Amino acid sequence: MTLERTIQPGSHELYFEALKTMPLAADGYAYESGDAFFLADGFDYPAEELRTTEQKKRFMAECKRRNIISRSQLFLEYDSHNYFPKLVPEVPDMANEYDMDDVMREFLPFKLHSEVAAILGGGRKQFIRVTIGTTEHARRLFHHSLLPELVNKGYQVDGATLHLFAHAGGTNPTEGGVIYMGSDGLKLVPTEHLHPEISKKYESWFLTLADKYHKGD
Amino acid sequence: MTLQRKIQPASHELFLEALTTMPLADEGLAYHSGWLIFAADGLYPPSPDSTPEERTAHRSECKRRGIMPGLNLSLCYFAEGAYLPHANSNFGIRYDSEPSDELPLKLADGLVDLIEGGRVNTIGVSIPSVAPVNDEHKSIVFHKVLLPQIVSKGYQIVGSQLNLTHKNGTAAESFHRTGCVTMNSEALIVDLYECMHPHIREQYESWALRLADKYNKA
Repeated sequence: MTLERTIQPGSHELYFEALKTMPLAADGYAYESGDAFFLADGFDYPAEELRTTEQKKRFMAECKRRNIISRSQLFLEYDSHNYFPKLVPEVPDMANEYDMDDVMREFLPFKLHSEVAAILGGGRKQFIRVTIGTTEHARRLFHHSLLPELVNKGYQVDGATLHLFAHAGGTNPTEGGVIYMGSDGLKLVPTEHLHPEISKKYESWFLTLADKYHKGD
Repeated sequence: MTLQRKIQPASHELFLEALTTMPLADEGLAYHSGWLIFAADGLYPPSPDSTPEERTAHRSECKRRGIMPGLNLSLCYFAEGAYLPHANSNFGIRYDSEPSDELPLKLADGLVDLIEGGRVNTIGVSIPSVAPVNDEHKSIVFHKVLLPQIVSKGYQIVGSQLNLTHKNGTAAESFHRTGCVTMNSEALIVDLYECMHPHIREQYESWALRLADKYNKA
């Protein structure tokens, strides 16, 4: 049986505290792997259905004001001993996604693509995705070094998915359950396979957060 | 007989004027393809065999100038008609894997710089061959749009090679290099081969001589 708990509303403050205080490998209660998503200043691209030319322009102007390279992405992945930018061949340009429509629209003679102009101007990446490695060092490096560094530079936690081991030293990455952070809030979804002692630790962590942040029903 | 003109010393001003005044495709005097390297504020990353002190000094200077040290952006002309970051360049980011990075819970310096943001340290622009169609847009969009934009953001030209060809001699299989314009740390070098059409040769020679009058101090 799966017992799902949710803390709402989702916020950077909630997610950041959750990541800072969650039971970690050093305590013998590690998640196996996961992904975390960050937005510079928590500033997101307008949703597709709301995206008019005017909104795009305003968005780009605001990015410029905040020293953000509009729509630029950075994927970080743990590689043997540290986090490095990841090559994502399936994404035409790992740092920047382009709508081909936009490109075609901007295929006017001698007009530079607006997002290339933004890159030349420099700034912070708008979006960072971190794929957390599966070793204890990878998790600790993320929680103790990379996470504070990102937040210190104005990035806000926008979401995460972390898979739990069922028990210390476990090998099945999804056996113990999952922790979600996203638009629906913070969710803890442990499975019945999760070791009772670990379950208790996560539940206690979760309830502490719920006391402080939960405003839902 | 190859005619070689060398203009020294090398400088960003010389290279920029060369690129902004050179005979271009729309005048029927196209170069075939080429590449260029730019460095933010002319600050080129130290070579791989540089000392740790040199790398530290470069990093500090980059930080002072709002540059992400060692980061390279590769721009390539795509079929959509624009110069975009190269597909497999990983945004051109390169990192030295320092032994110190293996210390527990220490992020790589390059990663910290990347998170902090700024301008990239170097930009490589690849101007593709105009073959198989005589597509002048590639070189014109570079010279008229990308180049001024890059320079206006404080980047300086530190190296280039442009291959010259015949007027309309642009079919890939029949590409015949008739000359070469090289920009490096020492000079601007214009090589015009014997096979170059006399009219085109005259244009390039005249262009090189004007630059030499103004910049050559050798």
